[in-house]
Amino acid sequence: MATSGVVLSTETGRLKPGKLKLSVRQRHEERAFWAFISPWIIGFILFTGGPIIASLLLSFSSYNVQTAPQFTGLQNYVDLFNDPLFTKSLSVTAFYTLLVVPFNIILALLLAVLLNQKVKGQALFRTLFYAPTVISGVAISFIWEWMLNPQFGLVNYWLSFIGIDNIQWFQGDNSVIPSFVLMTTTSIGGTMIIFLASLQSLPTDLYEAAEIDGASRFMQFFRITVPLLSPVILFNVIIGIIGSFQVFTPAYVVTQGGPDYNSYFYVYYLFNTAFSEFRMGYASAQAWILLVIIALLTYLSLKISDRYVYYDDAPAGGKGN
Amino acid sequence: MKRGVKLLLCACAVSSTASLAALPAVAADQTVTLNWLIRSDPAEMAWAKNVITSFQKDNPTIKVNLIIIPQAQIDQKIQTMIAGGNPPDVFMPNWANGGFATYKSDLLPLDSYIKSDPTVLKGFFPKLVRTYSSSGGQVLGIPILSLGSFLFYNKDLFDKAHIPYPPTDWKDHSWTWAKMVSDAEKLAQNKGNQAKEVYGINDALWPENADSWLWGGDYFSKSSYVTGKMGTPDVTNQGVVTGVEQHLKLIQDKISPSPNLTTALSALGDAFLSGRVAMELNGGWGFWTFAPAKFRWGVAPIPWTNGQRRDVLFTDQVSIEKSTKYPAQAWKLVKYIVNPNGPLKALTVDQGATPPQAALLTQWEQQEAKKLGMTVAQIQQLQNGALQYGSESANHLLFGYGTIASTMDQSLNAIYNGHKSVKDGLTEMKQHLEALHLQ
Repeated sequence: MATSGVVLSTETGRLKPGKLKLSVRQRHEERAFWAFISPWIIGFILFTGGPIIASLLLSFSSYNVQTAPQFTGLQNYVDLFNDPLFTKSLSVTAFYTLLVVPFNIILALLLAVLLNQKVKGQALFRTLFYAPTVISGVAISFIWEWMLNPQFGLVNYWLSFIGIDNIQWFQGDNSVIPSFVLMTTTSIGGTMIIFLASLQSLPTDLYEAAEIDGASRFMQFFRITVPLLSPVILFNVIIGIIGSFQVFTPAYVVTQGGPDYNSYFYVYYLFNTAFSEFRMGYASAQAWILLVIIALLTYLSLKISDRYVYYDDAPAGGKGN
Repeated sequence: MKRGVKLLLCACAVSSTASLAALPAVAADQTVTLNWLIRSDPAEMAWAKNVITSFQKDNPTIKVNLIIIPQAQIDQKIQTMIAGGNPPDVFMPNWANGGFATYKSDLLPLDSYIKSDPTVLKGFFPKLVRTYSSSGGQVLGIPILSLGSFLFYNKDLFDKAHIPYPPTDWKDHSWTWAKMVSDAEKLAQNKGNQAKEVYGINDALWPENADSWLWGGDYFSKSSYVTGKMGTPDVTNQGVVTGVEQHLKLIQDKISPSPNLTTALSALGDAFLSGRVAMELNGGWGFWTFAPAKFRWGVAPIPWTNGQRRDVLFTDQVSIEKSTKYPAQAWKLVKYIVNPNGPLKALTVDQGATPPQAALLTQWEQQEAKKLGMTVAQIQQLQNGALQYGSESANHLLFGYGTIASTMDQSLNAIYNGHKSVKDGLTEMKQHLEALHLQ
């Protein structure tokens, strides 16, 4: 579609600012473009862009929903940095991220590799492993809460046969976060599907060449599959970091942030601030801090990835851009 | 490809993180719609639907729109409804976690209606009616039920251990904490074997300050219950410390489950219902929640401690939001709900909850006596004592108690699970409570 305000110089072939003369058909097409895209734009302004700006403004105010917001400047941010629960919730969330992201990536990748094998019942296996992903997080949380119940849970019952007793799972200070990480095994379907799709698009000639050179399956995986998948791994890592910093449901359903604040995730704290204490200004400040943290982590991941990620569209002799 | 990945990630990061009087006169024949908000309890939902059907039959010009919300989300719903200028006309403030104190300033005084309709409070216990009044003494809600706190015990386990049942008279000074602990020691079985362990006692008294009341102390000052403001919590008074220490001792002596174990046992319903707890200190909701038990059970007063024992009362009420457009119609609905010959009986006697009204209480006592294999006089003793020694619960009278409770629970559970000393846990609790900004 042509864009007004920009003309293509016939002499240089470059785009220059100016008034583009559109034909009747092109103008008609432009109007149609705006008409068709307007629901999204209106929706974005009303339900996403507007609230984002509102939350930024509210973060500089004291607002309890019932009375008008009062401007407080940077007070919410100052209070946050002096709030022991802010640091506690952030450290709990960071610890969870540190465990859950590699756990999910490795598990999803291995599962994708297995499901990429040409075996009988391949479609059924793929469906079975993806199916739990479509179940609601609340239902999944309840199922795991039962399975990991220290008294009546199936997992402790099975472990008792090999002499392992009394693991407290969600109720232990040190076991609660690893338990939440374990819980994510039923929700890795999305990551697994992305890996599976990528695996299917890998060029076979490299594997054939490697096989002729005598490379084992193990070597092929680490020397060909992993490097070729590295952009997808990076994508999943960053999506994983974003998702894990926003973890909420399991804490809300299973532990309510306990025991002793050991699963007091950042977003759960934010939720309590907003909807138990009705401190919308403070909660907005928390949301913006989270945005900054995630943006920083995303930037850092991309920076670090320059050294490890291989892009097959890289020009000869250089790295990808 | 790299640029595409970056753009996609940036879009994901941004979109997924920051999105965050004077009343018009109403003609007598004009149909109005009232919003009545309740919690999503299956029995209460069925009750409310029946109330509406019969109420609308008698009042064809008043349509009642029932709003059903899970209890944990009622505060959010009501606050946003009020902020949006469309509050519920009628609701039960204590069916929200925020409780009466949170909504006190949003409630319509009912005195003028009661004055013109004095029979509506006939037989209601004055102490319970006075519970929910403004600082000026205006009535802000009509009680619909009132529960004390009791000791529930498993008769089968008592019989098996050849231990006499506890008394029903609150004035019986032989029923002491020491006697209860001694019985619990005898009733506990298979200590250390988590799969088969039977616990002598489970102290499930609620809310979080109930143990301190049992020992004559409190985290909160007397004025807190009048103003609704938590103020500076006192974690050093003798009642508070003894309450926590004695509770902890039950766990350390392995006659009571730890909070972790209680949570695990409660996964199948209340720990007492599992049949693996011989005695449980709990709220009067036990009268109906323990009804499905597969064993015989009885009820006793909470034991004597240091002579300053206080019981926790849980009185629920029905109120009208002060900015309702239809106060007269809302009052009609409230009056209908608290009718002892209709909806109030269905809510209390028929479901097992203790009524706040004398005639209904008599019916309830007879019913419970029959159900529990006790005499009517014994049930009367139990209920009279609860009313005499009881004070209204902090979760109804302190503003923002939901947040206070979750803050206290974190520290108390750390103490009871053995992860913190009593002193450290209480000190930390005080710090966290003081850091709360309850507006």
